[in-house]
Amino acid sequence: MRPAEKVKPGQAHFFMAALIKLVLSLFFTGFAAVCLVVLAPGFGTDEREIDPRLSAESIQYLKRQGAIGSIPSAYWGVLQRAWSGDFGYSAMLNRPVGDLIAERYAATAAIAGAGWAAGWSLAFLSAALACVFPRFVFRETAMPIAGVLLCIPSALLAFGVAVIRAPACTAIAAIVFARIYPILSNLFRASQESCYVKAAKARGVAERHIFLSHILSATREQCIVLGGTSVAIAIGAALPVEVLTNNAGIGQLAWKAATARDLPLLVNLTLLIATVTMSINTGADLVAGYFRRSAA
Amino acid sequence: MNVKRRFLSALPRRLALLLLLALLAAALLAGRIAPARYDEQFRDYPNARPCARFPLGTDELGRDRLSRLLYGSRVSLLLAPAAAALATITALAIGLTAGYGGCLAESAALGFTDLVVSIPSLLLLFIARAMLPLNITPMVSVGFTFLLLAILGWTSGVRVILAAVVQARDSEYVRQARALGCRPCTILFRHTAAAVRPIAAGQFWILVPLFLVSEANLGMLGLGVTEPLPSWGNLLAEMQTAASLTDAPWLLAPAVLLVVVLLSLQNVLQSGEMH
Repeated sequence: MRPAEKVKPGQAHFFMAALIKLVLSLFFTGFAAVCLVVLAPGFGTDEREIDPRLSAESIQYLKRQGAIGSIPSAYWGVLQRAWSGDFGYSAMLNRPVGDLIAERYAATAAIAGAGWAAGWSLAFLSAALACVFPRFVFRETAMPIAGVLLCIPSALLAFGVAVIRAPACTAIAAIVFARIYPILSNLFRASQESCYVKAAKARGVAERHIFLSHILSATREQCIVLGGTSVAIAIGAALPVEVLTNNAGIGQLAWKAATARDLPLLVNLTLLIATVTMSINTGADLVAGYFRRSAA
Repeated sequence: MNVKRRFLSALPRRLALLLLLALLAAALLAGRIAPARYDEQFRDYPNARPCARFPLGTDELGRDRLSRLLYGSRVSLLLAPAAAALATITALAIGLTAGYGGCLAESAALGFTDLVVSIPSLLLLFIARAMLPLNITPMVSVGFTFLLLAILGWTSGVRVILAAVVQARDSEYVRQARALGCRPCTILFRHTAAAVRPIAAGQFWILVPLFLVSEANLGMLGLGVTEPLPSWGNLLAEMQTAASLTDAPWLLAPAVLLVVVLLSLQNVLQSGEMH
């Protein structure tokens, strides 16, 4: 009897596995979020319960209204409402959470997107130029600049941007550049040290050609994954930047919800951001996996 | 010539280390060297400009800024390493448990880590901070702020530590110890933990500046340590109340100090002095 051959999982299997992982991650994130809301001090308590003018029956009625039962049943209710487009009600702003998100997501997407693109372009160009032109002055200066930027808290950077009245996305670009450039630079340098690149150099192949044909193709998957993970960096940086530059986006809304202890709103925003970042990370993993499998 | 060159190349690192030690000493001795207590109000001198009596001026409540900076440095410089130590110990415990707990435990640890890492940490800190009761004292708020950093910060190191645990678990000497009849506890704590210790130490030193920055971010957004206790975060937040920083550049002192400390830490860590 022949031993069973190990079946190599195909693209569809890989895609399904990534999708299931994403759905499960979101499910557990949602459950954890609902647990946090339900277990937070003061949850389900109506201010009217301490009104001395109300009778005992009225207070009991308010308590019954505020009761949510068990956490799983509360989560099931949240999922059902979310499925029909109802994301709850913000006590702080006295408006449906869905409307608040719909009003503000574009502002965050614009500054986080522009900052991410600018930071990535700058980091990629600098690392590429340092790789192609070894004597390029930026090779010696970009790393210290990234190091100094890493030492400045994002809120302080945002404050600086607000003081000099530069666009808010400048701060996000600086934060993304500081985190991406050292990794990209090290990736390219490590690739430069590989035997086939050295052999190509010894044969007199132009640096520009080596970068485009060898280094870039060798580091393509890592760059794609790094691109995905850096979205979370850009969105995370947008939180303090929006607060300190007075930009009416999701980050400012999250900060307002945190200061006003509006946990249902905060949790919905967290779920939204988690969905966006996890979907982009999964997408990046899928694309990188596709290239890896195609190459194999 | 070689000795001179080596000395000059090591000079920035040594200066950085010296500066960090001096700052740590100043922060520890804040009670003795600060001109006033952090909450002492000089009500006749609100918003005073720097002078001989108040080298960094006073804030709007008449409190000496230099004293608050020294006490704030004590809070930040002592509690960030404490939170980093707690986060590293947690990451080590989870890494060891996942490494020896089988495939399921390893996958669960990695899956949970991926989940936490994919959500911006500041947002998680927002939620955790918003869950705290309203009536907490400033001392409790300090404890909670750094405890939250530790609770949410362990995920950044667990992947590296788990990889080291798996490497140690599959190494020849651990296999030999197992074959010689060593107890699982001995293998875990004497052999594996010892092998992972340098990596855990590295993670600790990565987390210290990370927590200093996180506390500064939280403080600037008004969600960190509560008044009147100073920390670098809430001292930085005072800059936002200034009408113009060009008229009052001394307000930048906490920002300059924080950046200098972080740069010094970066310089020292890159050189491996801490290891």
